[in-house]
Amino acid sequence: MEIQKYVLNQVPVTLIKTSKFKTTVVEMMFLGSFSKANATKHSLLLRLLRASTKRYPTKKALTNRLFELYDASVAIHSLPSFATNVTFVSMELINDQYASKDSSLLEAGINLLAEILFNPNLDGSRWNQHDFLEQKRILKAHIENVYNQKGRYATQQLIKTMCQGEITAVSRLGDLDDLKILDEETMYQYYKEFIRENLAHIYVVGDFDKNTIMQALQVLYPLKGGDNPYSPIKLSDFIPKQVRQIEEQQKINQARLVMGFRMSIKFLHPFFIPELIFNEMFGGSFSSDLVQTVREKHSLCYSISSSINVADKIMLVHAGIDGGNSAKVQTLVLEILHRFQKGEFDLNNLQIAKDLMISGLNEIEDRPETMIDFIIKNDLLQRQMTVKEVIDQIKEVSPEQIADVAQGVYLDTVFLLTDEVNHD
Amino acid sequence: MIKEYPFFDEQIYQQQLTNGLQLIFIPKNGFKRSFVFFASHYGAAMNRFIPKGEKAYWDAPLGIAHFLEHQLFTMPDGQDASELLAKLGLDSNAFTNYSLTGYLFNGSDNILKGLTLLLDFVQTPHFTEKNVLKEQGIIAQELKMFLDRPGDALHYGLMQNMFFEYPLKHDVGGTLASIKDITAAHLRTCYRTFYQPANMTIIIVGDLNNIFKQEASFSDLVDFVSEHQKTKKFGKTTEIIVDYPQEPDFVRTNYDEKTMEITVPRAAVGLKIPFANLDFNQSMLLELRLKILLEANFGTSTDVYQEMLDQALIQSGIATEVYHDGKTGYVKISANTEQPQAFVKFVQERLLSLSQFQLDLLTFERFKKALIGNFIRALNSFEFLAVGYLEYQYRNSNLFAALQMSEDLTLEDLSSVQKYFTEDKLTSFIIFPNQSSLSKKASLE
Repeated sequence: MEIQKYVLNQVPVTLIKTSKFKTTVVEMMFLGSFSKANATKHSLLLRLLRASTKRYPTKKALTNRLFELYDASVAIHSLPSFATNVTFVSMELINDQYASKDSSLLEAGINLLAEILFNPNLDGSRWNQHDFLEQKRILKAHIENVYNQKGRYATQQLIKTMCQGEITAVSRLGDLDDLKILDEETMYQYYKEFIRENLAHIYVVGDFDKNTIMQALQVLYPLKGGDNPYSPIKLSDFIPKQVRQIEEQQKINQARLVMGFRMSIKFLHPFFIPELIFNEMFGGSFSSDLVQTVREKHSLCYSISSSINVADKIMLVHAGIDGGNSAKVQTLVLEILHRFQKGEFDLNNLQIAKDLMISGLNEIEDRPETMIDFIIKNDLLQRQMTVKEVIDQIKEVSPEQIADVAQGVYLDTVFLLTDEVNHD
Repeated sequence: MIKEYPFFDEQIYQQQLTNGLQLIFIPKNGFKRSFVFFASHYGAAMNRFIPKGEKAYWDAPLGIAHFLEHQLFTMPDGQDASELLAKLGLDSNAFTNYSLTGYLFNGSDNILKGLTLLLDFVQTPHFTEKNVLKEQGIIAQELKMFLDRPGDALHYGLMQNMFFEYPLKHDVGGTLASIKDITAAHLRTCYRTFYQPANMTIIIVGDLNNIFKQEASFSDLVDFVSEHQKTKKFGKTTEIIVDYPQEPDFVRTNYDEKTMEITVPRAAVGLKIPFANLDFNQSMLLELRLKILLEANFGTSTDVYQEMLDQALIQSGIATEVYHDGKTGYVKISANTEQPQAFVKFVQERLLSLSQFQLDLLTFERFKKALIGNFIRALNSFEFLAVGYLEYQYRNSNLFAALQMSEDLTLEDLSSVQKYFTEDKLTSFIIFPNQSSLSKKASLE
């Protein structure tokens, strides 16, 4: 495997040449601002870009083109990191050797990416009305349908309350009120702003010829390069004064408990390693204390887990339980947290958490997506750490550092979506 | 035995050990990661069988194969096998479907230690009433989680409509009531019958030199597992006799519905396909033809899909599925829709009029390309390779042969499928929003 970095028309290009995979992945990352003002526009724009282009003006035409390229997959999505909106546009194509009758699928695929990005389905200076109305309707449905996924809905409701007025509470999916006012012209203006202002990075993983790929990538122009002016991580801390408890009842079979915690992060490690290890030990894996205590010891749930969002400095604990056990589960979760804060945890578990993370890092080169993710994380945080350096840092994490992370964790809000009605 | 698939750049090493255990190795040179999968050919479809050593059929409580999977992780000394695997830096998991129960782990180091532990915990059952009771609470929560998922509720609603007795109509995990009937003695009976080495396969995907930390060959792996198996005592291998219910070709009922806490109705149309009368190649061909017909009639590559969107017959996507297990099978077409009855009518009418359906050669060739590309992309996944290879083998076929079949398909082949599209094989299921979710939605507008 060979990693090479270039700059093409001011845009950083990372080429990872390897013959390990049967496919080649071309991924573009765009960095721009994430705010309440643009979240819904952005969400709709990504849908519009994926739906059609001027040359392939219907879903039928675009799908058929992808089928001709042996079911090449195109994915467009965004993942905000605090005030930075990170947008990914990627394509995966099978290697030419498997497509006996066609030559250079990769070049054709890159041309299609250029078509999707630079030749949208416009009518003059407005978005095509049929497409616009259709995608607006579909996005509205997707926003409403969060209600149908009970775990996701409970998390959304918790974040809305806990982080009200903060950027963390802004949904990347969008907001119904903001969606209502969008029109074809606004979307065209926002598209121009997206192409003009977002900073692009390009990554290619696969078995390609360097000169051919650099030539093919020329079509992905004009894109902009440069340093990201938006913060990808929240710098200030927020310590809640009191814990809010919210409850909602629905006719469901299982209650969903979500506990929202604030985290005070000291930025001592560039990849938030102590925080990630703490999460792994606390509730991030099957051997974590939450699973072993709440599920295995007390039989109170099937699923319980913690997850941390270091960019927004929050930690969430999710559990599917019987509503009547909510207080008991909350007590257990807080007891476990207090033990971590006092440094009372099994040192074997610290070693397990480290080993599992190291094992994951060792396997990074075995999947195109994990390889790109690692490099992207570096680019986003403007660091250049190798896998080995990260592994070395993991090995050095001490029990005191884990307790230190736990001491910066404060419960803020609890949301219980309860099944009580169903038990009447 | 080595099977070579040069077009895919894949090789499969396969050997049956003296105790009957099948060992399969799929080399992935240059990869640091290994995937290890230990499976029993025992799934939720095998719920009526003659227990080993007995003479009469027994109807096991629903969900018992899955329950057994949960319980095997508890070792005789009370330790949890997944924790022990985690201590080796290995990430473990397990799953049960209708045809198999699989225990697996991933990792880059300690693979041989992990393999020994995996063989040990799966081959050292330890069932107690106390542990069963504890697990009932956990599995009840797992089942409740699925009960709230509209996609699962829609699927099982449709399966209940379609099948009279066949176990596909039940959730793999059973029901809240059936899991309460499960005892430690039941688990022992199932284990004794289905976890005989001759009914099990171990598949390893990875780089042998990494696994052994020195230059190694498949015979080293065979020796390693064989030596381990010599330390275990197994009873005499006996034939496993399972009674699969005979399903009529027609559906049990053509419609049913329910309400849930959701904002938009969900509808599914099912078509029961009598796969039982087909040999494996015929089944595979039928599956491929059905997939092409579904894409050609409802896929995003068609005008019909756009028409359904424009008429608001679907909210956004439409999902299609073809399933068969050698005994029976079905086609499922489902969507979120504000007009569920109109959606069902539209889909059913279209399925019934397929005898007039014509596909042009260009479109057909494009669909074939898509099938091939989709398969090649999936081969990047160790999990797809290992589990897919085994499931095809259970059905007496070969994962790689399936692809060759799609290359050889002809347009004329498609017409043979149309005989399955008859009214008595069709059924539909709709989930409507309940009153409280409708009020909730109104408040959002």
